Amino acid sequence: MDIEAFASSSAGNCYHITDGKTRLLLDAGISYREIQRRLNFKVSAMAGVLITHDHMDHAKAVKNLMKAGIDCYMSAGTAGALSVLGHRLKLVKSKQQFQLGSWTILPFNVEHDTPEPLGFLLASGTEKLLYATDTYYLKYQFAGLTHLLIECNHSYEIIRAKADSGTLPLEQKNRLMRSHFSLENVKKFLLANDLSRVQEIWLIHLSDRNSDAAQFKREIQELTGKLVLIAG
Amino acid sequence: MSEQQALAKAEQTMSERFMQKVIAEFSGGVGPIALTDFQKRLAQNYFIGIDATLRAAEEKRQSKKSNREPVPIVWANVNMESLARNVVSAARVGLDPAQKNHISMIPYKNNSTGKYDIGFIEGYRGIELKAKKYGLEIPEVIVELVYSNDVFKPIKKDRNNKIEIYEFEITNVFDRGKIVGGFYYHIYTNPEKNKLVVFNLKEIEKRKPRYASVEFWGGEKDVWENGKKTGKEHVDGWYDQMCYKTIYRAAYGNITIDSQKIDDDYMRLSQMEQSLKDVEVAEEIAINANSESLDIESEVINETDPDPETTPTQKPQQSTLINEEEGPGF
Repeated sequence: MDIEAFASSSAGNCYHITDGKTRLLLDAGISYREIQRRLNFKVSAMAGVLITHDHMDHAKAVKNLMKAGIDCYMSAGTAGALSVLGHRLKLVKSKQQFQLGSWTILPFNVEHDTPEPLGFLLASGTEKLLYATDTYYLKYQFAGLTHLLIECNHSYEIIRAKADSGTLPLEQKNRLMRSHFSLENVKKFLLANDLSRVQEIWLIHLSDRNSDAAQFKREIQELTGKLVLIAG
Repeated sequence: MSEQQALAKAEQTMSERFMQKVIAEFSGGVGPIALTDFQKRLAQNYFIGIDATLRAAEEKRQSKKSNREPVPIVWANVNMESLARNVVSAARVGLDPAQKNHISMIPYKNNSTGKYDIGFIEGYRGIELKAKKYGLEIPEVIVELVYSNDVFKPIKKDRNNKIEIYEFEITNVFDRGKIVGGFYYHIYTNPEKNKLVVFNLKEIEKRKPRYASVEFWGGEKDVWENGKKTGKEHVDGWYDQMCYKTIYRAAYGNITIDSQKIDDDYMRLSQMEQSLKDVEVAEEIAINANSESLDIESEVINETDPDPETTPTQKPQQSTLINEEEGPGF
């Protein structure tokens, strides 16, 4: 499995994955032109795009991708919020798996402040990828993961200190706590899962202001003993 | 000594201990002081309120069959130092647990100390009291719910209209229809500063507590018989009143605080409120996170198109670019 982060931050999120047979985009939170550029203008080589939720840092290029003839997979809640319709819109539901090329994909519900946000579990051959972003925790445990693209947005300690010192508005701190994965909760998630087959852990969607990439990488590496990569 | 007498003695001791701690906090390092009758009564009200809260929480803890918190929720396991400080702060602001909707208490486990902290939750009257004490300029506040048979027309401030105002008429007082929203209106000495804030039902619902009680907000409730779920029942609740209180909270919660009036008590209450929010999130995560196994079935259920019902539209147009908006930045 090959993973490439086109963008990973609050400014935009877009990841390219391939199992050597089917190429997919995970989220499309950058401009269509940027996606074209990153794909060497071979957008049509994409079998589809999986969209987690309607926020523009994840769905900015959806309408243009659909116009370009790329199937976009999302929940009805996300489609409604984005006001998209058409035969390129493929509605998916939590816990109803589907096949897309050589990938078997299982969407699942996540915890974010948008209508019907989703995460995706993707399997191809013996490899299994978890894509979970913009969620303050995951309800589920997953078996046999080999790759993880998981949000590690902020550290509770950082946002608490900032809120105490008045540099982070309390409303924003409270929203972050109820919408994005913290380092502390990512650690709990990793400890609750069987990581024996894991090859790579990608920490994604790090906040520009409320994270410390080096610290996050070190702490997750120490906890799991796995290869940890910071996206973006 | 009978068991009942021993229990009474222990409770008396706890009450005395509580009062001593509170008096020590009231004195605040300036030596022993005598509490006024009002302060004594307030402190006693806090003890009675917290005592009742602890008993209810302990009963609930004991009734839990699984995931039961091992530490009993009793006075002996309460962090008295922090509680006494919080009681004094809340009492000095004037919040009285014996008054309806002033302040209520909730125990929560502090994992770093292994003891229980008592969180204070301000009711809508408590928020009003605090806003009046610490507000920069206290407006007169009007709060109204709007029903489908009412006539409501906001008149916003603009170049030609210097004063923000509204027209509101209850056309049939005995049949106002369904609740469609509400508003609050701040009236200042200088009417040009008057402010109207309108809420539709969705905005009211957005402010509804995450685990709002069905008894208050109405809705469906599980029916249990002999420890088993046997179905659901509809509870009417007090939906209108909860909507009214929600707007009332917003009306007083949005009064600008005078930073010169902010004191240690205000800061302490704000910090306590924050800690409680953090604990709520942590508890929610602890209960729900990583609790269910999920995996891909070996047999594929849907082939390629997961939902063929999506509506087809025009053919793809490679060249048409849509203006892509910016997303929320965090």
